Amino acid sequence: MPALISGQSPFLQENGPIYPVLITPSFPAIEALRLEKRDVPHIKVQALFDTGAQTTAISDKVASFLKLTPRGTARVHTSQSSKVVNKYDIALDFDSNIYLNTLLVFGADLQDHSIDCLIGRDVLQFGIFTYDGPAKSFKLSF
Amino acid sequence: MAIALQQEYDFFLAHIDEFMKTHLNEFVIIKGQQVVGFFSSYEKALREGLSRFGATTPFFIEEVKKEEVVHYFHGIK
Repeated sequence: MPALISGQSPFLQENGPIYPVLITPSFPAIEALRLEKRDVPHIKVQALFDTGAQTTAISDKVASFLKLTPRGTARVHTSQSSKVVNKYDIALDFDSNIYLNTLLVFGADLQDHSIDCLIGRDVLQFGIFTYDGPAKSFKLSF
Repeated sequence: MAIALQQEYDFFLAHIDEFMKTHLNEFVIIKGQQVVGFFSSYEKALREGLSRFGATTPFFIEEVKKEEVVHYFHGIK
């Protein structure tokens, strides 16, 4: 039976498909933090499924809160500019049964400050994403 | 937010042609201006970097590709 994430909102058109996710450092980074007897931070945020994003991004605020260590840089083009941003490895947890243990994401200044994660096509490529406008619902199955 | 690994990024761009000759599609770790090694996957590179430098020291990992990957977004300033 496929794993399923689903949501419904009367404001689906206005807000988009938003789902709460738990973000932590990647599992390999957590192992390293525990070896060094450091705390493992986590944060629950609102994520927007964004078919227009090639790669998943998190807000700079989340990267700072989690004290993520940069693992590289990437060149990003937006509608307004081109810039170089930091890359981080995270784990993304939709719920206890659906998670990605190592995901490379970008740190970014997100335009909508109520959203701290854009889930891009690098995640969506693993599943089937359905947006049902009349029912004001969405689902992602893996 | 400030770019933390600009020196490593510049080093990578300066040596990408050299890397492509023998390490195409592998993942390189760079620290400062030194290549630490090449690995078959991102996770292998990450684990090696964590093992060498620890959990909180930045190090640069990038896939060696023919062209720099440019990413497109709508929701980022």
